[in-house]
Amino acid sequence: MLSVENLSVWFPARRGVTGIFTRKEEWVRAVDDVSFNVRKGEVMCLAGESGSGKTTTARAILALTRAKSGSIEFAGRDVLSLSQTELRKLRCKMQIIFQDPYESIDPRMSVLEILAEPLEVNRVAGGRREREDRVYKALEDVRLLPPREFARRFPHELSGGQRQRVAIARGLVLQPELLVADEPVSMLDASIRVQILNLLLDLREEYDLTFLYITHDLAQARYIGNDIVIMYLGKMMESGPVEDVVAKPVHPYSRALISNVPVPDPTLKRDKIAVRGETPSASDVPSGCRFHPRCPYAEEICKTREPKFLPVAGNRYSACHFNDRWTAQTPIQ
Amino acid sequence: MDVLEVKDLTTHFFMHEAVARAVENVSFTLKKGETLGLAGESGCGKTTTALSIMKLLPPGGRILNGEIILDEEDLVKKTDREMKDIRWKKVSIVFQGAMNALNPVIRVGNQVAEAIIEKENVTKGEALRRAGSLFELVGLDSSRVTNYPHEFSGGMRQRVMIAMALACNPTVVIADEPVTALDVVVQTRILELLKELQRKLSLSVILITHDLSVIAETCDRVAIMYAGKIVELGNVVDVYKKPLHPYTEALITAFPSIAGEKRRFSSIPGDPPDLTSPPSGCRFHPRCPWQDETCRTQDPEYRSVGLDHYVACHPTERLRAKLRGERV
Amino acid sequence: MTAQEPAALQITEDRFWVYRRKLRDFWKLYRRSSLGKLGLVVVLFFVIIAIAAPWIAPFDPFAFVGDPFLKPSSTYIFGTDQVGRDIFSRVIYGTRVSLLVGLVASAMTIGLGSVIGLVSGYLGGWIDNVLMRITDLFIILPALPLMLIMASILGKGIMNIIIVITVIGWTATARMVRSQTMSLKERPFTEASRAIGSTDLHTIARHIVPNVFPLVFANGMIAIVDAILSEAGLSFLGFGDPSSPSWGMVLHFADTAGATVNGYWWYIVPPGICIMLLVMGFAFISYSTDQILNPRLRRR
Repeated sequence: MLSVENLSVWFPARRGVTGIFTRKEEWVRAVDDVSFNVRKGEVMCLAGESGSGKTTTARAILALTRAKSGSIEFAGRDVLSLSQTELRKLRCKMQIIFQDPYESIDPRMSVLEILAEPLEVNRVAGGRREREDRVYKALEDVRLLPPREFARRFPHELSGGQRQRVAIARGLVLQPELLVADEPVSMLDASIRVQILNLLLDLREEYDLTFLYITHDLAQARYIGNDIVIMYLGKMMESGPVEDVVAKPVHPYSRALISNVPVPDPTLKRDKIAVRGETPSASDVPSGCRFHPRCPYAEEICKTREPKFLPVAGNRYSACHFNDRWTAQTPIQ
Repeated sequence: MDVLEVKDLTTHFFMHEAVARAVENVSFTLKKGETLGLAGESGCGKTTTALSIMKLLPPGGRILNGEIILDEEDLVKKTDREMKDIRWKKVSIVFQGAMNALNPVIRVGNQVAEAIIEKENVTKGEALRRAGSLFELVGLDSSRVTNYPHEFSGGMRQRVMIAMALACNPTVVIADEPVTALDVVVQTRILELLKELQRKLSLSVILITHDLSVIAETCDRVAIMYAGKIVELGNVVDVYKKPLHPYTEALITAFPSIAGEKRRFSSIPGDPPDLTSPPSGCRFHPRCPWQDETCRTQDPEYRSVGLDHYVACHPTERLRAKLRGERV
Repeated sequence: MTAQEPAALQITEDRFWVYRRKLRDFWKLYRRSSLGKLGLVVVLFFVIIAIAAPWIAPFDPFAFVGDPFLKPSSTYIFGTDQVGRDIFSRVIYGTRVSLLVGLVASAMTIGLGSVIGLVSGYLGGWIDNVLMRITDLFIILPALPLMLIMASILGKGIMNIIIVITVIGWTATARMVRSQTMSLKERPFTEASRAIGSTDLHTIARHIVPNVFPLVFANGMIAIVDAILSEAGLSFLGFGDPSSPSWGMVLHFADTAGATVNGYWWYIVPPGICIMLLVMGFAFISYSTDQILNPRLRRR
């Protein structure tokens, strides 16, 4: 369904006063050489901490951000080579749900207007009646019942969970094939999160949707995902089926990340792998392996050569010079 | 030994059109050297409780009832002037998002020193020296007192905020969502720092967060709040492993985790209530699968059901069965 | 919901009901502010006077009806000016001019400013650069001298005064709208609009404009105040239209007739007070509207 190859998204960095005098181009290498495939009907998770490039990757796939190089093949077309009009036609097939339920829907529009807008803009479903029916169907799909009652409300009259459902409904109304969800539940309360996650899973089954799910929360990724790609500073560190990666991570970054994720069980004692420092900024990327300054196992080669993203077992991949050392280790839990 | 005791605290917010009953009849104790978790979703009243203890409620907020006993004194009865001597010296707070509240044009050392000078009669030089040693205490190099906030990373700024909270050697520290905005790896380090400081300085900590996994790993006891009331309070192992209140049970079992079984959870239906017109009887009843007539009309009593385990639920068959240890 | 709202909302008619509801909600909040109500009353008072001028004014404002410099009496409520015209009638007809200039000039000012601000803020790049440099140019030029020069070049006439005021005033709105547009451009719902496939024009019209509107409206009220005062000032200095009895013009004639020196207070005070009251009225409306439309200013 979706095939991303060697995608790179670089932003020109702001040059300070001194920068005016230097010739060198400063780039923020937000996404660097990322490749993965998403099969139809599957949920692919792009996981990573802030600054990892996962959100930028998603935006590049939807052509909301301009990519520097690479290819994105969706429904048989290369997204990056399309013209504006062709792109707009393709947009009907891939939609996005944003993170912030308070900001991603226009506070001045009623729910009916918000959901009808995609139909109007793309001149789908001619006629008011038809559009209205589509809107009501979308509201039913996201369990905002009765749909007529919710259609006339405004965002500020809805709770966070309800707003996010409206955002999801907006994503559904054009009947897309691919849904990109950018941290859709991170700003919602715990008791609502599972509601929405379950809703997404139900929708996937009902409409045979394909999801690209972006999150920093590995617990969410595990709950909803089939496959996962773990990113750090714009590069892929590890990928594979989500259950395997979370249970037996290979890459040192994945291992550290997963060992540090807290678990709601006070009786489970775990050894957390300590990692020094904090994620550097993407404008100042370390040489060689990007994780080397913080990696507890870094060696000379890690500082100079970037490790390749190689298979380690089945369809699992990892980018570490010492991949074989880790696959032999026991799982960390 | 109880370092802080809160009894029947009731705080309401008086707004233009309505009154939000943010906190009602909340009671709990904080033992010396322990970490008490205050858990709950947004709007449940946990931050309001903290602000009530500090008497730092925003305009419109008023404590209507209750006692907050710290060091044998009732804070509720204290005037603002009297509170000035108590805040920071006996109890301090690290606010939510505080690490972004540092003044960007003042050196961090001076900001911490300012906290000391406000409260104690010391010279600026002495205050700065103390700021330096506080930095060492929280794991920062004391020479960094001359840096500006933007020169620190998120985790380090949070350490600065912790240093500021400890500036006048309080006995109780309230930390409101101290690690929410931080990466998971940094989160671990900050939580470990808090634990270490607690040991070194015999601090008693109230940790406020919506993240149940953080509480599980750092707290000794936990109070689960819902719609302004405490629904369950107890030892963290008891509450997580043998939850009594339906809300606690639903929340804990429906919490995605990287460990444990991978299966579909059933979520709690509905939304948290509007605090200007909360449901009648038990505030959780509209979302509770076991609610009956009593639940709809009577507010359940918050009572002790065992060794330091409290719950606010009617003694239904279900609750009794749970207390006997049966699975429901 | 009112009984009139249809049970099933039709999409295009829906916007009509949406606006009606918004207007109703707005009015409910506005009613609460005593300052706002006072302002509204004052402005309405003047508007009524302006409309009813032919029926209220006892005399023709241009006719010589009495002896010059008569003190206020029951016939000539504000007395007469240096050529024997009734000041009361002149002040009443002056309401029309001041209101007209105030409303039209401010409308043109914020209209021009908004368009430039929107285009500049949304499109960015070299267009933004060019437009902003032009704006900067107009900001740097000192307002009063520029006004006077333009007024002398264009000559007398109400329309010319309106043009002058517009040319001086659009920059403030432009910059404000531009910065608001730029920040709105970054907000998720704008991005969402692009994600569903909207053209830029659609995004601007449907999302940016309605969200900029409150700011523009509040600003518009201030622009009215500015316009009225500018017109009064220009006329007073002699650059106005002598054939129209605007309040500023009345004051101008008062001044040239030596009213201040000779103590003909009845000539000076009425137009002065009218200017002050009308301006205050609009200022109060602006204040209350701002309180409502800018959620951050709302008290709990």
